Amino acid sequence: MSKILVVDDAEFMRMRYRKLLAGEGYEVIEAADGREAISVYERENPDLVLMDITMPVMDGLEALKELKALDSDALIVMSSALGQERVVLSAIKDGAKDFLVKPFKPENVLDTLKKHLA
Amino acid sequence: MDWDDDGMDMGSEEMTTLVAEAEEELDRAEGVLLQMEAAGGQFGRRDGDQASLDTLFRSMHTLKGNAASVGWVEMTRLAHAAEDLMQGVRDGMVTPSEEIADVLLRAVDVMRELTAALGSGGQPPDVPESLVAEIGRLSASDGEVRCPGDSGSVDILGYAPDPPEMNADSICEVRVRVSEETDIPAVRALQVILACEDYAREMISNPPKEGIDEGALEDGGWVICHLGDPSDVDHLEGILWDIEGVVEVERGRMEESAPGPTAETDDVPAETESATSRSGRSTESRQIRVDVALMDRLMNQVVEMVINRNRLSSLIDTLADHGLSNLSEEMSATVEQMAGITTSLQEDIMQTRLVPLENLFRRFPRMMRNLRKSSGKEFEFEVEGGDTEIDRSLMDAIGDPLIHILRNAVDHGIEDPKTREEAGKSPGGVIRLSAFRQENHIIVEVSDDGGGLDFDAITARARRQGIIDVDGERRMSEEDVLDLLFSPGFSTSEEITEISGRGVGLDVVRRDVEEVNGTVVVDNREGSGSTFRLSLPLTVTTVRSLLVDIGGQVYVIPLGSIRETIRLESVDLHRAGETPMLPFRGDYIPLFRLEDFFSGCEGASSSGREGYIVVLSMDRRDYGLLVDDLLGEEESVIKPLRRPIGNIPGISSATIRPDGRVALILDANGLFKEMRRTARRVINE
Amino acid sequence: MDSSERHAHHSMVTFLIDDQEYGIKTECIRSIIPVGDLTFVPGAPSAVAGVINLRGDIIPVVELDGSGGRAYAYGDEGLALVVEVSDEREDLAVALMVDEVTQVDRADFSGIEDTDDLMVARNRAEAVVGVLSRDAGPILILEPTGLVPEEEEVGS
Repeated sequence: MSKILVVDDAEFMRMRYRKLLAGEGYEVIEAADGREAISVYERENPDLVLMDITMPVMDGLEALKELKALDSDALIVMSSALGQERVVLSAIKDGAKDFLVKPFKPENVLDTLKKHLA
Repeated sequence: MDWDDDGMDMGSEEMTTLVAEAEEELDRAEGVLLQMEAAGGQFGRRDGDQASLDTLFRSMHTLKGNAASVGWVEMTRLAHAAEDLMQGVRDGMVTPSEEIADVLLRAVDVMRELTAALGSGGQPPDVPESLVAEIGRLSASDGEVRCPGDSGSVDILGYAPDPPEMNADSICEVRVRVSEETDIPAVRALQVILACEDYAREMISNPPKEGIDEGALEDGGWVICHLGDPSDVDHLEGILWDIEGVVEVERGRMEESAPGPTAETDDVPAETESATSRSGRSTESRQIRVDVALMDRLMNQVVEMVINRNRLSSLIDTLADHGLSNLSEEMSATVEQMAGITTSLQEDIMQTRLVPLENLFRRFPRMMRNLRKSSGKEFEFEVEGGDTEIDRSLMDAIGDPLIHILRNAVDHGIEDPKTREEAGKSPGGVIRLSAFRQENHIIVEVSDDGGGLDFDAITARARRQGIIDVDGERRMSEEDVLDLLFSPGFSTSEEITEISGRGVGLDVVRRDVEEVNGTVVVDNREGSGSTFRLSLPLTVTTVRSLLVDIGGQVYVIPLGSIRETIRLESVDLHRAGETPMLPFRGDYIPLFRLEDFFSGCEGASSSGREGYIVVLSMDRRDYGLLVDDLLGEEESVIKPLRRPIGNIPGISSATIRPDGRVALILDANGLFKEMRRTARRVINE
Repeated sequence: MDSSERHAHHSMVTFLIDDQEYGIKTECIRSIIPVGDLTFVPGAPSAVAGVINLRGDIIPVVELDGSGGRAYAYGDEGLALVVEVSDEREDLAVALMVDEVTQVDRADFSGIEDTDDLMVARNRAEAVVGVLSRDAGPILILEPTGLVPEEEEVGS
């Protein structure tokens, strides 16, 4: 089963993703900020990264650029809130595969993952 | 508590985390706000202030995000307002002030009460409307607040959806429309544009790429692009439909738009204009998208028609038996005609179900790249024959088996670079995935140039796992050993590796492939690799077959596996031990009865000289099956057998006879394996 | 039987097999059909008497007591309940051979007691989940998932 890296500074969100994704049989690994995401990515080589935009230490946009530099094929889906349109736009330009608009809707998350992991 | 429609679906663990994290963020926010209050209008100018503002914004963002994800309405509203204000402050549009700190501290207090009430299940406080309004007023106080989505989209909508001027060697056109209903439609439009850019020779879009800004697409967005390679259209279309918000993908071939050189030079100005209008006409939908479920229903209905056609034919015979031969002849002409129509309808529908294997194969390069990284092995991955067409359901059925076989090739096939060099090979190996059509089958192969299969290791392992005993091992042919690989529970790797040892063995691969009436075999080239070959039927749903009677019951044998039928009384049988041997084409082949491995199907021919021999051909050899009678040929509609009888070796599926009874479809390969297993057991006893 | 079911009234179909009365919740029964033309499946688990065609689907026909030697040979007429089974793997339908359907009735499932070992031993233990005592004699309550026999490894 596919391995998903969930990057979000909110522990609660990571927990929700973990429960949802693990329940669907995905292997879930986590990082709490962009920098941690990069080291976890290098170590674990996940199939897909689900990453929040607003995070401390290194935000999602910067982490996206670094991850793409590290692995140009990295499959990264940004999670954003409404109101972050401009940021999402630049994330897509920087190579994010897709984005999810919060609030967290389980079926959207699963659909999006399924689509890109097919 | 005021939840929105979704309500809260949280376990106590989640509730605890939600409350704890809210408290933590509120503490953090309060700390920054207290500094802001103390510094007054000076806040934001000192070192570290910007980081504090970032922290404060993030805290509000997290509070809002967590709350919104569980439909915690009051918290979401308040945190959202505070977040907007903090975004303005952080981005320098709103100057931090004592007043802002004060209002936000009051908001933090309310959020604390909301959190406490959630944690204890108590009555939550009302969120004062005045507080939300005040936060909103402060957000706008600098007067420079942007209005999301106004400036960017207005001039964009000036574009009309005219197709671009055509390039003579573009032959396909794809038009895509993005709904304005979707979340952040402009970004969806950008995703469409980026996807099209990878394939298009030229394209035009509304909004244009450079003009895309945040905000709404009031009339929806669209992209028209021209492609040079028709096979690209399929890929692109697949990618486009995967983008959220795409509501229309229309495709057209532009064959009329490539005028001959004479016409072009004769009438240049007129040609430009007419080319445009022609292209418009050519893109009228010649293709429609059909739901797979609808396709399946159509197929099932045709299958029902085939069953009824067979039933009618048998009724006509009954008419003749009752002396109504005139009526029977007349009817049979009509039925004949109907049968012809049914057959072509069936063929057409099967045709529409065909998809190029490329749709499946394109998943693999990425997987192999990842395996290359994680395995530390070096190899090239080559793919051939992706344009081979196959029934959609067959393609779906072989996805998992192929993943397993490819992983096996990396894990067990290709040696590590050092071992390869020692064996005089290049350090990097090759794994090749190929597909092609061979007569009535689609062949899909995975071959590697690794070390091949280690027979000793396989038998040793099978012995340890109790699949064979020492006596059995001595009598095993190469074929038998290869067959062990597909035994339930067999795995060659000593330790469970991350790549292919997750407890799923090749037995599952075989089961999946046999479920769709395919076969899987492995060829070994010692020291230089192995090839796994899947052989699949062209279609899933019907099979030309011979009906036979064994023990008073009708069985169905696919014609594809039959070599010949022989009258039993016309041959002289020999014996090899217990097994009767049949002289056949200069050789002797073993002769079996169904009852040899299944009790309860004793046939009349088991003792006498009546009956027929059906010579079945396998991948590697032939054998004879004794049957009581031959009942004729038909187009059998394949129906799956489900649990608890879905997995019997030698019986692949079933069909429904014209009289409504069920007949079992025999699988020559499975029967033969079962036969040899039984033979071994008999000898061992 | 979990506690919530014990306190519920359910509509139940009762039927006889070998003079023993059994019951299954009506909601699990798709239909009651006459069974002729049974096709014997060589190599199938012993509890499977064969397969039938039910409106184009191929349905296994099971006997509660597969080893009891009640052979439904090809062509025998009999009666079967088509039972819908949903277990952790999939949704299935199986036809259960019965001698006679006695009634469709509401029963108080709170009266269900655990079966004693002796009674279970005569039957397929996994199918019988409880016993309901009545004046006319006990009714053994069947759970549909227990009607699907395990696939057997053929030839080993």
